[in-house]
Amino acid sequence: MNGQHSAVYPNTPARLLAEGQPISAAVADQAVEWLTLLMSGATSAQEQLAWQAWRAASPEHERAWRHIEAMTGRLKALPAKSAYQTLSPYARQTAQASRRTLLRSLFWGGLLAGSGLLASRTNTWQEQLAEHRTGTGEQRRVTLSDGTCVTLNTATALDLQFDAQTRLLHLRAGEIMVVTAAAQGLQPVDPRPLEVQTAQGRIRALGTRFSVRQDNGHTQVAVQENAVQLHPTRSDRVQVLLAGQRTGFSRTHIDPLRPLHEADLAWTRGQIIADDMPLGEFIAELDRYRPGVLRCDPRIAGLRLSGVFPVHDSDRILATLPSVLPVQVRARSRYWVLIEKAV
Amino acid sequence: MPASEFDLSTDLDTLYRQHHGWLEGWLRRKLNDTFAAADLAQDTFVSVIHSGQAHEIREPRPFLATIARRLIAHRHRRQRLEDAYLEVLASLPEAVYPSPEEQLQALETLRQIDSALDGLPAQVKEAFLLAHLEELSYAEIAERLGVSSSSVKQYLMRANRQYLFALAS
Repeated sequence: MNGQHSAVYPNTPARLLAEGQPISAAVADQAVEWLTLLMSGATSAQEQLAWQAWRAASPEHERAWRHIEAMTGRLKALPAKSAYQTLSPYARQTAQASRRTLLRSLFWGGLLAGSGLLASRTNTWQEQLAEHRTGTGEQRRVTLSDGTCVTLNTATALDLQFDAQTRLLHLRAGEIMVVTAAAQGLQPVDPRPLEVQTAQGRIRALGTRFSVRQDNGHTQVAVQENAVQLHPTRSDRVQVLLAGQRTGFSRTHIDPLRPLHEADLAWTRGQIIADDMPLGEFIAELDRYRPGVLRCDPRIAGLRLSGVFPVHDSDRILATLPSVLPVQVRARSRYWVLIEKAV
Repeated sequence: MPASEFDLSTDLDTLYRQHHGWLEGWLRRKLNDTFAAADLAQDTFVSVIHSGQAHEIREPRPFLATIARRLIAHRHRRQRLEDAYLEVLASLPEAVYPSPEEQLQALETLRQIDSALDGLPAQVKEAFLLAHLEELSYAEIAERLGVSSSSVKQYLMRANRQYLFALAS
């Protein structure tokens, strides 16, 4: 309604608001300058310190910045591709004009156009600034100040917000395994609730061992011990997930609960476990651990394979694929690999 | 009841009784759609109520027509966005097709963003979308748009400012 209102009465003087309270134009300008600088991805350590100092300099700065995080979070919560195509003044013209010519090369042509973007996709500014992060193919374990142990999977970015009331783990990208201090038998138990925040909602730990994965527009949770509570941002529903269960949720909707498989947590041991897994799914999984582009021709994506694969040696896995399936691996470079039907 | 509030409702009442029929007829001729005309006539008066300007109106009919025209443009814009979103949905594989709730949610957010970016030049808007949604670097955006990296930075400064702080929402 606000949007409509100001569209109809453009002369209404615009008030600058952050979190419902007015802020000065000067602070808004500074906040925008910081955001634009950080988004460039070309910030020095010195600039990052200067940005932190700016945030800490006044409560108004901090409020402006939280407003920025909320507003950019709204963008990040959308399925990026669909949102871009819907909103862009250019995307659909191009799409319509080239639809006919694309039809014939839909499989590879379409895939390559998409993956070209992925290949050049850099980490977002949120991920670059995150307190704990791993690169593609990297895994790391960290122990937090309260004794909680967190394992970060490949390409993961995690921020911590610990204060008097809560312990919040903000998962900005990737996948984590959380083992709370209580689950490790450590005493005394910290009374502050421990929660993981993703783009779709919050997961509250109830003395537990669980994993959370941030996918595009979707969060996946698997519980190994005790239980967690799921709170999707835009739903009143609260779902308790017990040990041995897993599910996924969007901002509005929780998927049906399913039993946890050994394969779901195999990554914490550096493995992918395939049990009659479609090749397409397997390659998508392996791609997470490998820099560059790894794609599977949709025409062979339905082939099945089984086995335990070490994620740290994806070159060797790719090399052995043709011996178990009728496929060939075409490497345009180390960073551009296609799995195709064997000829 | 304070005097101003009393005046306001009298003004609105008069305005409604004297001009609602005319406005609806005018909209019906313009849109050639009885239901849309009735809706928009109603929306126009709601909009006047929100503006709190009913008592300042000197020439009611041109004033109402101006508001109604803006509402028509707004409605077209929403329709175009919805069509664009449906078209994008139609191109998605079934496996990633969002649920009806997710579609509504996404459409609502898309509307807010679209309206927040309203009025920006196409290049500036495109730079904003490429940076935030496609997560391209400034150099890549510069290449796509055929402009310099420093222009991209200026575009983003402008678009970020408008998206983050222009609307009091």
